[in-house]
Amino acid sequence: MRRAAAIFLVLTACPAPPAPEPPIQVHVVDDPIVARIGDEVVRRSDAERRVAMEIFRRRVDIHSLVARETDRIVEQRLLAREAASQGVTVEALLAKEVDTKVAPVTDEEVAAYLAENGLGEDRSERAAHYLSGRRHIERRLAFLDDLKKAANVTIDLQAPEMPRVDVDIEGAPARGPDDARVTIVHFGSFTDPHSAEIAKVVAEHRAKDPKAIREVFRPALRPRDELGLKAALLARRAAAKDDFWPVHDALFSKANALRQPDLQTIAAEHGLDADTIGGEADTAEIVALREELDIARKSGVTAPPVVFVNGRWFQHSFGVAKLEASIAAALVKPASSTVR
Amino acid sequence: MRKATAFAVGAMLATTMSTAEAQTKDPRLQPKRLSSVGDSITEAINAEEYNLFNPINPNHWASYANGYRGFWEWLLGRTNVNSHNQRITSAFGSKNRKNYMEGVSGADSYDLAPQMQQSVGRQATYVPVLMGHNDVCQNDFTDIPTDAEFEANVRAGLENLRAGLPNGATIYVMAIVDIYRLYQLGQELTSLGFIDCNIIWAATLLNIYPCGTMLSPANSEADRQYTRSRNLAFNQILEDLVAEYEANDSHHHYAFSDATFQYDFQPSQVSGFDCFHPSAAGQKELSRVTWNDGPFGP
Repeated sequence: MRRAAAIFLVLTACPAPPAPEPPIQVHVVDDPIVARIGDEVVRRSDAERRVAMEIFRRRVDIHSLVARETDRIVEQRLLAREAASQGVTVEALLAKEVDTKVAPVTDEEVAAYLAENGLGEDRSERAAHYLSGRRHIERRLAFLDDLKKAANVTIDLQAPEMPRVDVDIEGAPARGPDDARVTIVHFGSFTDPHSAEIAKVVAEHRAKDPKAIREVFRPALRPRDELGLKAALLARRAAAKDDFWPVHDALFSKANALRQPDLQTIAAEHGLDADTIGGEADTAEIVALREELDIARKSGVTAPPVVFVNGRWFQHSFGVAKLEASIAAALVKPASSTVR
Repeated sequence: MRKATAFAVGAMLATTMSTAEAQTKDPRLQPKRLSSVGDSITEAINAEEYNLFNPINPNHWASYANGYRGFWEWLLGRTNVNSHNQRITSAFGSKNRKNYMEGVSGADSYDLAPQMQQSVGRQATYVPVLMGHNDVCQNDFTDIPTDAEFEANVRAGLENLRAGLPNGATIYVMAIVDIYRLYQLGQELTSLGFIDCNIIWAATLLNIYPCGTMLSPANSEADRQYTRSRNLAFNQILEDLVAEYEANDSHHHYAFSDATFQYDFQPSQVSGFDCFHPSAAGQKELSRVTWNDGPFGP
């Protein structure tokens, strides 16, 4: 229906289309061309998949607005219907069904609350206010709940589903086969213990089935983390010498207690110069790192660590067990396309 | 939004003043000496950056009032909140600019008088005030002050400003944000899989994390709505007091806005670290709506 309407709009909005090509028209409506470079075209999806998480966040915002307003409409209409059926105003209805049905809080109840919570007599006035206010609200909620049940209210609004993201990993260090069933993109910081924990989990899974997993690393930084910044720059230098992963592993082995001397030691062990990092000469490196951090931001990452398992977002507050479950699920049912 | 109402109520309250007196205010000074009064929202706690070892991490660069933009904000591509501080420089120039933050995380109405005394010490010409969240955000419901206590605290602070700020200074009081709405957003973030807010909020049970009166998993829906009712009551007190001072103090300019309470925060505008404080995007919106509704807005 919507597609047909869209096609109709496209056709009617253009009184003299250059060439009637129905199949292409359908494609244009689904994924329109948003730019041309000579004969090469850029489609909307090319742009959208780069910022899929940002677009999703905005969809969530819209859903939140609509959900809140839906609740308000349901409540307002329920009260209006009930008030009309009783031949009174909504205010009079609430006065009758709520205000007059709330028993006053007694001194004994206040004393019991104070005793239960180990509070002194000086809290009596506040406790009475709380108990009275809560009782009134409980009655109002119960009344609304009864109205909802009687009217058979259901909320059919569906929340948007988090998308599978095509994370931009072009040029990022990767290990494991290109055609691995599972691609894990780790946005991490070498000074962050949670990132180190993630790296350990991924390493364990790679050890179990090296052909099944491709690991990709992208930097993300905690703010004002000078050492994390230097470690990220050191890792970039290692990547330039095709020696990223040994440095990655060495840095994360110290993540809980990485210090400046460790950085010097790891750099020396891998033939890298750590002395010039953070100095005047590294401006270009910082600008390049910023471009990488911008990819993290576009992927919805505001702080490390965040992991994408075949394009599915994982944030560490949900616990390592959930990450392991996510990897296990991806191993069973791999995604068709997850990265570009 | 309610600025006009505040002035109207103030005019009615000033029964002892003649119309001519009410209109004779000292000329308004430019807001170049900013001294913000507030709490964790003014400090932009956890707005876009967090610290593993400090769950209450200030992001001053993202403060709706005092925010700025430096090297790290550029490097990390942080949100430019376009704070009151930035807007003042843009509108009035950088010469003789001062940008003080008296707000401290955890502060409540009992801290208004000392914070406002600090504003006096700065000889501030502009004092934005966003305080009261920690009056409703308590460990226990009986920790929430009574109306009379809250009013006395606010009045003590305003008295300090009235007695000590330079003539022509502006005091801009903003309503307490709708913290029930912020709680709702945390629930949405959890259900959508962004972050597990309930794990973070469980810390309120041990009083590690603040605002048990709204966030504690032990709360009922009625408990949370009771807390919101205190939020509303305190905002009314703020509005009434601002109207009273605006009507009776001819040396200073007072304004109130409930744009902060009315603003319908969305999930992207709440911290992705603590699920409760406004994110940098939320701070940006706070700055926009309060500036536009305030004494120096368009």
